Amino acid sequence: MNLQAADFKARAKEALNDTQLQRAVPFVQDRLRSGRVQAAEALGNVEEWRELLSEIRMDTIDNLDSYLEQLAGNVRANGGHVHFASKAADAVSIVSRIAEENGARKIVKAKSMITEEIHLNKHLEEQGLSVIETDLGEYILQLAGEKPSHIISPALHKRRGEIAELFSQAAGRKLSEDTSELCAFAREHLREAFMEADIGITGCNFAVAESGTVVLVSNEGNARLTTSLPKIHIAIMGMERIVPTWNELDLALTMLTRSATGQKISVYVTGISGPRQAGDLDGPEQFHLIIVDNGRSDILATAYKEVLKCIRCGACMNVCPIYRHVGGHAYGSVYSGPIGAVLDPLLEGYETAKELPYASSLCGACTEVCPVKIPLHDLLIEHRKDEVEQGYTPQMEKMSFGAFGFMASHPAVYSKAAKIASAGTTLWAKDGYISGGPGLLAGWTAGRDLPQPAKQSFRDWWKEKGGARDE
Amino acid sequence: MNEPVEQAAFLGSIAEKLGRKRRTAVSPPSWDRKPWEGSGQELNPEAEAGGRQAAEHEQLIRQFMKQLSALNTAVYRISRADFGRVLSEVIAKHGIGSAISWDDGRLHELQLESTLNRNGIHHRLWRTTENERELRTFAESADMGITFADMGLADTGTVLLMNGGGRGRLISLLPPVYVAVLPERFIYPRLSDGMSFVRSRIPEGLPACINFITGPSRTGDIEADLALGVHGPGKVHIILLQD
Ligand code: SF4
Repeated sequence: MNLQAADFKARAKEALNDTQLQRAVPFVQDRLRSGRVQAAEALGNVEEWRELLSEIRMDTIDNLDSYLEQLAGNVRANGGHVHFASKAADAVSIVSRIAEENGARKIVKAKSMITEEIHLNKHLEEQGLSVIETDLGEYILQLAGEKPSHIISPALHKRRGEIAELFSQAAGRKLSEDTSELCAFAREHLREAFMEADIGITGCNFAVAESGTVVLVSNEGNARLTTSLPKIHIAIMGMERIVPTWNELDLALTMLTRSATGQKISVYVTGISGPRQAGDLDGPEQFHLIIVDNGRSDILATAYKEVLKCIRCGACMNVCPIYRHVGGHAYGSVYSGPIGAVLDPLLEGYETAKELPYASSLCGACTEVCPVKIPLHDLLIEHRKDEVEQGYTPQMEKMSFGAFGFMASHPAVYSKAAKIASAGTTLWAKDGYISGGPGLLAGWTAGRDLPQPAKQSFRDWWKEKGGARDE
Repeated sequence: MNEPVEQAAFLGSIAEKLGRKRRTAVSPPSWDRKPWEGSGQELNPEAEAGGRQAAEHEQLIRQFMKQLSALNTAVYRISRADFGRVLSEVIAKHGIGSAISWDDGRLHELQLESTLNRNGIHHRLWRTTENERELRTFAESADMGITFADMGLADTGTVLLMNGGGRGRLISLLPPVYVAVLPERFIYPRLSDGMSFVRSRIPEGLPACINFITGPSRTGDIEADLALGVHGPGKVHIILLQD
């Protein structure tokens, strides 16, 4: 337990010592804030959108068995295969089996949270398969030789100079630090991977039950390549990532991109309904949908049920003062920021993630911006109560008071948190939108364990680093 | 209709956790609230009734163009007669040497091939009778991809592509320059119109791949610096036909 307790602090400390991260997170947060205001002004009546989408998501969760049954039926009718995975390991072995049965060797992937959650890459690589991440940020990390388990935000923690060096090595010639030159190299290099790949793996932003369609949202286009070039496409979805019809998809998409990046819509919204059809010369010959539970159904019976409404927009972390200080990887789990602090303990258990509900000032900014009205900070309090009841108290209590005590006695930090919170109740409450750049969104996909738990306390790092940074 | 065992177990456990019996064939509640109404996104309330008025539609076209110009996308609003001239301009601008296009009657009508020939462009159609590998290799190395579009959405500057058969999904994806041709009468107010269109096609079966495309491929993964064309086309041109 002590070791676990030290983990968050150690990671936080590491984050606070990471000058690139300390520069980049606030930069991106601030940048997104102004983008969000613009997106919000264009909408005007954001409360109405939030309310309606929240109701729609709740109906979906309450009738999940029915909508999933409909989805599965329609995917099969489209000629696709449907697999149900109760646990992470089940999902992994389904993918392994598909690869094995088809003699696949090379896999390309479009970035997906659920594959992070089930640690898919690690398992496939152990099986001797080559797995290439095709999202630019993820690709950079692969070249860096950093395991996906260490990923935070590729964009946030890698400097352009490092990227140029990595790409130059891969290219065998000297590339400049110019963004377009670097991107041109990545385009060329990854194209080869796409052309050669046997299997493309994606997540699923939303699955439309009424037509058996997997909807993918992307700006780069790598999700399109992943679902177009390889002979086999495997889409993996958390079981709650479903909308009943294209009408509900309309609202969900409208809110997702505006909340995530401030864009009215992403560059590509792609609807995949099964494998290629008779007469098609492109698209995969096999389409598999893997529907993953991995702890989600347990959440249905708890006070945390609403967390399943989440559409993974990242808005909550874009306004979070704690995230601002420590970035995504300090959370040490797949999901970071306020949503991670609520979700990780549910998916991983308090044993692993008990500190996260305390990684919050409870300022409520997250709740104010959530496009599906998840009462995030209430759920964090709920977690703290549950932890007390289950005997995780003492350590946690101290941490909480430490953070609170520090906040309360350090006006600069406190006022900053308060400022963010009050902006949340005025501006954000009015428009409800927060934008996130590709960078921060990527960051939210979170990191994992960083080595060497430090002995420094939560209060100490907060005082030492957090305090110093805030005027 | 026997339900697969694993599905029954999976869905059964959901019902159990929800504290009730399995449900089936639930329809979503109808919500007649439309949050976009009155928010400037529904510029043309009569669109659905088919009574689109010229002035209102003109507003939609302008919005569509404005939206795209903010997204690094060139829009040309021209008569059909000018198609060849404008496409030749695009070809010259990007130094295009090869192109691949949908095998689509709507493009043939515009004499696309003769324009390409006149410009000395090495050109192929995505013809379903051709060899797949060969065509794909050609598409991968082509300088330009040309498709028609089934709908335009003014609020977002989006074009909707129903792929399938001769309308290959790779044409709008692989080449670095992408040209979409759209009759301006196909422009509708917002995403909802695209969704209604897709829904209307469900009974006959949706194509395996539908794309909503809004501007060029982009990324911010290198120090949050906007870069175009990292995977998909970095240059997008929309040719609007004034019919
Ligand atoms: S919980 Fe966070 S990520 Fe999920 S929908 Fe709400 S704001 Fe977005």
